[in-house]
Amino acid sequence: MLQTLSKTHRLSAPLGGPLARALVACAALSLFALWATDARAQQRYSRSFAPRRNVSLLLKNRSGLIEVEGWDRGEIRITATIESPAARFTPTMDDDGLTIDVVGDNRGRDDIGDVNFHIQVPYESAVDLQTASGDIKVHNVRGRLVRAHVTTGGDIELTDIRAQMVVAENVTGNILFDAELLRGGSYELKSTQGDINMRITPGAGFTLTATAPRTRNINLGGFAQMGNFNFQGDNRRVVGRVGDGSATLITTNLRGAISLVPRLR
Amino acid sequence: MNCEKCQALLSELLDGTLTDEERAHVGRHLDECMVCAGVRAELSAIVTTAHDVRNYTLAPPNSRALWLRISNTIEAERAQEQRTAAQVAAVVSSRRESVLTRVLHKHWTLSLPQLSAAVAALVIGVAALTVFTVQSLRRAPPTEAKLPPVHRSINDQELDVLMQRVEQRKGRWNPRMREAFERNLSVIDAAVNDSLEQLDQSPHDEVSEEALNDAMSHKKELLREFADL
Amino acid sequence: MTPESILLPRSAFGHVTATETEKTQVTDYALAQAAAAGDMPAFEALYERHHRRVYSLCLRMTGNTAEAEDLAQEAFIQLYRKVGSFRGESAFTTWLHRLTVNQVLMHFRKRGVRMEQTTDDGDVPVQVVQGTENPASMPVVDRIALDRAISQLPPGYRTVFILHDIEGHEHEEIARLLGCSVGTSKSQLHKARMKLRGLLRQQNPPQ
Repeated sequence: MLQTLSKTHRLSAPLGGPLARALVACAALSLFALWATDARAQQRYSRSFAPRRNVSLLLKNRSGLIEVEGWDRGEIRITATIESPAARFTPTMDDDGLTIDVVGDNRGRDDIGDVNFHIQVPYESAVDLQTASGDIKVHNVRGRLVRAHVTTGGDIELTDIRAQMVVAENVTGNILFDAELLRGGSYELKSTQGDINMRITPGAGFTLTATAPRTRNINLGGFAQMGNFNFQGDNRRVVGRVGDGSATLITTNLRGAISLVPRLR
Repeated sequence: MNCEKCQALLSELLDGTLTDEERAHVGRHLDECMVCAGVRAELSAIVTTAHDVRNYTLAPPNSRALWLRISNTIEAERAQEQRTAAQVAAVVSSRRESVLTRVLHKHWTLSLPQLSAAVAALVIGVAALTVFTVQSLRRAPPTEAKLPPVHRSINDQELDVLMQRVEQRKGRWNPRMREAFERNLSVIDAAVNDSLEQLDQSPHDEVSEEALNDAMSHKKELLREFADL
Repeated sequence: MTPESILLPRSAFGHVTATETEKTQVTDYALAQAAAAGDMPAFEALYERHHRRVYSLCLRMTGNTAEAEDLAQEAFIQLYRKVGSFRGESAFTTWLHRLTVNQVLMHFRKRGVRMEQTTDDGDVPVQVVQGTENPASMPVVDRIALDRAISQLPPGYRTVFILHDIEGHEHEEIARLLGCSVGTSKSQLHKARMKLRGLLRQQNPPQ
């Protein structure tokens, strides 16, 4: 080992030596080859769509990250990185909105790897995102519906949301829900074993049904003083009402914790 | 009558539930007011179209698959019922036979005090049994929660079929997908076991029943999705 | 395909041939009786006849295909459990319809869907249409547009509208099903119709 090191030292000392140049060239070639392989595998897809009547997005993915954010333009822009060249998807736009069905479009194909989406949508879009595995992040969307569903594991982050109906479900992975609760709105967050954290606007009126049967870990944060709450079923469930109780918030975490904190504004 | 009052009565006008007097008032306003007449026409169009909607039915995405799920569930339920009935019948008949055989084959010689004591004991026994039965019937919730084992076994059978399909397809997924599936399935199974353990301790516990339903529906969803991948 | 033209599967009705089926048209009541006695092909025939209506009702009431499928499945399982209690006093379709509606309402109650919702913005009364609104009449309402608008109604409005205007229930029955007063049912219906009018105008504004 020592011998090899000293040899290398001696070789690199005179930088202009032919062997050193060859080594540098080899290293550069290897790096380029690695990069090129990666670039070939990682296909990139980018396209914009002008919504018709309804601004809504339905995405069914197999695995990968899904990021959706609202923007002030009237178009939907999809940027995707596709891990495997075998993966296919064809977005379809009709009067009901834009649909991307990676699951349906690749049924019967073996391994299609991850497809990672970054999608920008008009603020008022309704978004319905489903994936078998992977994280889902939705930011700054104000349509009538935000739904994020992970059949297995993946974090769900819903931030700056203003929607009449929000549904978030996963098995493992955390759920962060940072949203304005609208009057008459319906909000449902379910996990089997991830932490569920909710940041709720102080002053929002809602009824809460929070169930954490295994951990009994239901933290009402500052809301404990703002409303009436009953602990039921040996503290495995909290039912309560804050203000006029007009929004409905249902959350269940079968093996994890639930916590509510007032949203900072 | 102003527009606000008129428009508030338009639905009842269309449904024919206004009094003659109200109808006359509304009618006069509608003759004079184009806006309210327009709203009436539009609501009428909605109601007429709604009648047509009733006759237009949609088929579920896969009627045959839906029927198979229904019939599988029913068949499983029937099989369970038959098994339970057979077990109950077997127990009852064996007990009846042994008790009856002994009673019938015994030679009874009773004195009058013995006979009256036996009758009194029988009366007290029957009364106690009646009171116990009535009370336990009152205590029992009138819902299907009384039959959790049947529901569990139904789901089990449906899940078995899905599980077989998943096993057939598993080899085609990439290792990450397989790992995600296995890990999350075991988490759901742990949640199912949590609820079952709780239900063993308190069989009518509502929170555990709901948690069990939640976990089972997660499991079904997971298997359905992965059975099709 | 009309329900009557559906061929019966092999069943306890004997070996029914196509021509016999055309002539005899086995009634729902007879099928229900056979199903109650455990005849699965008879029950399958009931499913074939009625599953579209049951599924459509669930779909309209929930606005979600997956939920609708699950509820239709549960409705038929309930039907099988209860079919023996159908005595033929009312039409089978009415009886099954009531069973399905109850199933959906029970599902709503479980999920905490509030049936007495007034508007999605809260307790705002119905907005009076003023002369300032575009006076051109609403474009012709077609079934598809109406179906789409119905799916956008808040659950409380949607339920009352479907039960009354689509399914033809009286307010008294709706009030009983939903556990509210007849007055509430009437006012919900009116608000639902006015809301639909607004939604249809938004969908397809008058030129």
